Amino acid sequence: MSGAGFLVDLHRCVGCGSCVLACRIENGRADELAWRRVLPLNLRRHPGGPTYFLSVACHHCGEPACLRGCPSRAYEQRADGVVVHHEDRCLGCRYCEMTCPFGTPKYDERLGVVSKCHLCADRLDQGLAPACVAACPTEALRYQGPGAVMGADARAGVPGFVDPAGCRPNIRFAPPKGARRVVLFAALEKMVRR
Amino acid sequence: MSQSSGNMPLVWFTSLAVAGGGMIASSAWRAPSDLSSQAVGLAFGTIALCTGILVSLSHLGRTSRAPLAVRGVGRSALSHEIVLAGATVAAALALLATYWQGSFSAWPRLAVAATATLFLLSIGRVYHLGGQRTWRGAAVLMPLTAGLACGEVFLQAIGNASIREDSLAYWIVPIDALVFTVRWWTLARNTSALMPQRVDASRLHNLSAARLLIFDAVPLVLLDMHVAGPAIVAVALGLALDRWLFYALADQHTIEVEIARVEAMIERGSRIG
Repeated sequence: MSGAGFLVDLHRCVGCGSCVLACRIENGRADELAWRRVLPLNLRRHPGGPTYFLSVACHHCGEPACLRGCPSRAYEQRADGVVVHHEDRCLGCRYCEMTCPFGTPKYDERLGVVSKCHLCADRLDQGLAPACVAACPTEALRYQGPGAVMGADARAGVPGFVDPAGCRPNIRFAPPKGARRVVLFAALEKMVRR
Repeated sequence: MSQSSGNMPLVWFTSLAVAGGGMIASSAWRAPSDLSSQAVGLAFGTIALCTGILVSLSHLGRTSRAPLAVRGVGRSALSHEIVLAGATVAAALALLATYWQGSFSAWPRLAVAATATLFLLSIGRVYHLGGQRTWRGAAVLMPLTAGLACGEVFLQAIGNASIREDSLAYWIVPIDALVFTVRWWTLARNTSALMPQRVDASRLHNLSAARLLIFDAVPLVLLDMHVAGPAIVAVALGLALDRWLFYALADQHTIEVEIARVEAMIERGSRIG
């Protein structure tokens, strides 16, 4: 990863949603406008089947489509790679909703502007971890600083997460562990690649 | 195909912008043989484009910040479209101001034509997005061909010449039909891959056929029969349908959509592992 971002450990994440709640409290977001979401992927498509969870927010891409497309330059990329959105410059044109291939920017009808995760930039500046990372009870969600070296098994894409627009998202996934899950996950990756 | 409902201001804006830009471009590209038709084309094109720009403001969450939209010049395709829209209006008005001289000078006329053509191209570029697979390919050219077709049909309808004698409409309209057919064919061939969540393939075919008929076929037949008014109405209706269909066929890529695609694959492939 070139810039700051997240590592999501698919083995550790239990889908509790603490990260979503912490983000909402930290940033005062309503439920429907939450910046972070936890998306389950059930590998067998039946209740109780093996499931992994993708905890996702903004990926603070190396080539952010939102930033390139914004007509009012409301987006800015900091030196550490964090992509911040200045609501006071936002027109509410919603073009970033169209350009972002991950569904990240959220439009607030009441305020007439878009908003998105800023990786708790103010907390980072104080040497603190982002609120979602700090709240994760299993340490499945981890903050990775710019130029962080990942484990050999960290992946840029997993089934359910691809980068169709060449945005170079700064997110990595550690795959599930355990013999059965590893086999299932490998089979799913093969199927998706086909 | 409910996605167009939230985009109605954009449907109206792009319809009016494509029609206006097309009328200005077609009028300005023409050799100065029929000055009054050119002037009418420029005037109606400018009115349509200005109306479109005003309608587009209703799409903004913060209308008062609209002037900030030019800050992205050099980076944002949307800023380029907005600047070119303003430049097209300004250039067309400047050219119209020389109407009383008895003829439009060649260089100013060509400058207006080039600006309007670039504006039509810029509309297509705005929607050429990595996460929008249904808006790529021939869809990028559609505002240009549709705009020029619209302009040519309008000029033919208000002019005196017979369409069989001297008309670019005979060339531009079939080109537009070809571009639209390529897009239709691409979508139809890849519907399951491009729009896995959609089950309305039959509606895609019905509406696409209607668009092709109303926008491309009917106006040419009517102009051939010297029925000008209904030809203009058909083009206007066809263009609105074209733009509505464009937004209705949007297929925004998100992680939720990607997960749904993987789950559909698991369903189809039954068990994995």
